[in-house]
Amino acid sequence: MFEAFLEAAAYLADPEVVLYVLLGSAIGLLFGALPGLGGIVALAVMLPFTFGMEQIPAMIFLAAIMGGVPFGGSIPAILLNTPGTAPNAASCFDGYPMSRRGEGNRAIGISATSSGLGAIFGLLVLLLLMPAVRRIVLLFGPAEFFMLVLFGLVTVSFAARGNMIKGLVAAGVGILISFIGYSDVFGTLRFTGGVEYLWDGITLVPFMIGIFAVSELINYSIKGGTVATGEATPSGKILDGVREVWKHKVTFLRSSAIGTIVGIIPGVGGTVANFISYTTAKEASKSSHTFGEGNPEGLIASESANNAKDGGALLPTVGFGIPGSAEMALLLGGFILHGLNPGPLLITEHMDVVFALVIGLVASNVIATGLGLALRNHLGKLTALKVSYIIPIVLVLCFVGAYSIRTNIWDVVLVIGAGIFGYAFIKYGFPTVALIIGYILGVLAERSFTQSLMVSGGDYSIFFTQPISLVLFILVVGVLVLPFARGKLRRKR
Amino acid sequence: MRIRFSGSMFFTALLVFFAGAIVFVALTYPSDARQAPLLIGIATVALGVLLLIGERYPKLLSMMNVSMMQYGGSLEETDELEEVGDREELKRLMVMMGWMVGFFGFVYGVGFLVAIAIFVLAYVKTYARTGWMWSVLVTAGVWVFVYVMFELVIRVELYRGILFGAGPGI
Repeated sequence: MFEAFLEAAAYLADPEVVLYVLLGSAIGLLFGALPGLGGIVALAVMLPFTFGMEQIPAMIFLAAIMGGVPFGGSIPAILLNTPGTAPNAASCFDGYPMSRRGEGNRAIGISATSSGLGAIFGLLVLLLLMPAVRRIVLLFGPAEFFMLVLFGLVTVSFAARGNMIKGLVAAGVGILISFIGYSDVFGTLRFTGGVEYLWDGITLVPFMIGIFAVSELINYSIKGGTVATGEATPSGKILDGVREVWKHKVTFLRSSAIGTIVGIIPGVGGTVANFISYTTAKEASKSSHTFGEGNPEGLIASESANNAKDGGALLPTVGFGIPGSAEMALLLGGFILHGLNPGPLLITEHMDVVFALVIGLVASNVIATGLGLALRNHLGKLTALKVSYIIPIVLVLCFVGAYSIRTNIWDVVLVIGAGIFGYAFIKYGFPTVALIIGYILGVLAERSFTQSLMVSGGDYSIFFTQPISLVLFILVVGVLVLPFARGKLRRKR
Repeated sequence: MRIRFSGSMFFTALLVFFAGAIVFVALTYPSDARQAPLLIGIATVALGVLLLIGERYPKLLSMMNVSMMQYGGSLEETDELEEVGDREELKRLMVMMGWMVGFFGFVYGVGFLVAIAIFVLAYVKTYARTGWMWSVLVTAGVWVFVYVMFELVIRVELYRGILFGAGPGI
């Protein structure tokens, strides 16, 4: 493992890779600060740019983008009460009141320190758990892997806001879309309708660009105007904020632990981690009555959990190929684009890639924090940028990026179609992340399902007789039954 | 009894139709190749039908509402943007689709390099309500960025358009 770490770390001596880290951090910071865009859009738009890169630099670049987003999102949340990304929402509760009473710099100092240290906490947990996960992964055969994929899909559907059935339908549609095209398992074309373009299936990158980025642009165009109004010039001392985190180290450690644990659960993501952490900090605090009025503990809880979740979310992503969040689903897309098979092989054979992601995240958190602190006033003002500038620029990048992967002009049509489809998904309450995770895991699930049946000679009991797959099956049933049980309990009360 | 078709109902019906079509087509494949599509397709159709019934009887599905916070979609994340009515929303959606399809049409006809210049300039001039100078500057900035990044750095030859001799597809 140490050799793999050295191999990945050696890339940082390459000036080109250092440039990627700087660029990725800046892009993450920028997309994070622009409300509504965030890490998902940043990764979707930037994925094609990695096409010409080597595996490790590409992973470092993608990780650097991810690392810069959370702190970028906290700046407009603190200065303008407008969260850059959804997981920064809880930062408004205490960050903005601090800013209004003239402690904007102190709040940004708290956010920068909690963000950076929170991310490092999550990544340390990831590195500590890695040897154990590597051993567990080796116990997984095709039946266990199939059940794990099923568990991941059901959890993602459950984690979606609103109706669980919609989450399951979204995941189902995603899996069905993944079946389109040539199946290397069965050596046959399926669901192409004689259309030559579909022989390779629905292409990953254009589909993700459409679902995540173009749908967002359509939303922007419909809502119009500027992203946010208002102006704020932060005052106070940043160093006071740094000291504040040390003063509330228990809150920081507890919130980072919550962020990491929630991050590990597939599909749940930063917003849930953020709110659970905030609520827990409020309940545990001696000054809970000042939460929402500018209590530094609230900001520490929100920001440290938001950043720590990335380390947690990486664990199922690199260990089992089950994305821990929507950003991780896009990262899986990056793996596939660079010829890496998501799943157990990644953590057993490509530890250098895992370390590249860790290095990229750590470096970008440090860089984004420095950049964010230096440019905080300008980043705050970015939210006043007119939507009419953002739409054409990002749309051009989406079209050109989608085309550049295979130099196939019809991939641009796929981007438009997927964008409209994604917009309808969001509008009618279907979770897009369940769709994408279903799409990414569909073929993997089918492959392990078929392999399991080949091993058992067609006997379906293989999914229930192996101890690990049986436990996972019980968990799947548990997650499916949970909403009914909760409803019944609520009615009883 | 008259049933009022909402947008949500229509979209759910569309998803059910898609899953149903997959099931229907899968029946024509050999048994091993159709197993998973049939399994997932039938389950998706069943759940989709449940959703359609739920559109008519909302209480039936309310027990399946879960309250873990939003993380995937993002419409709620941009609450600061102005709220628009359904009819206006549909109109703006159509206009945006028109821009995207128009942009693609230009790309197909005259290629990326010309289409990008026309699209960005037209869009910024129409919506940003700024002078020609600023609109041209933004357009030039985007054009130079795309040209340098894709043609020079990544070395991807951008589609030149059928009018300039590119093939109809790839």
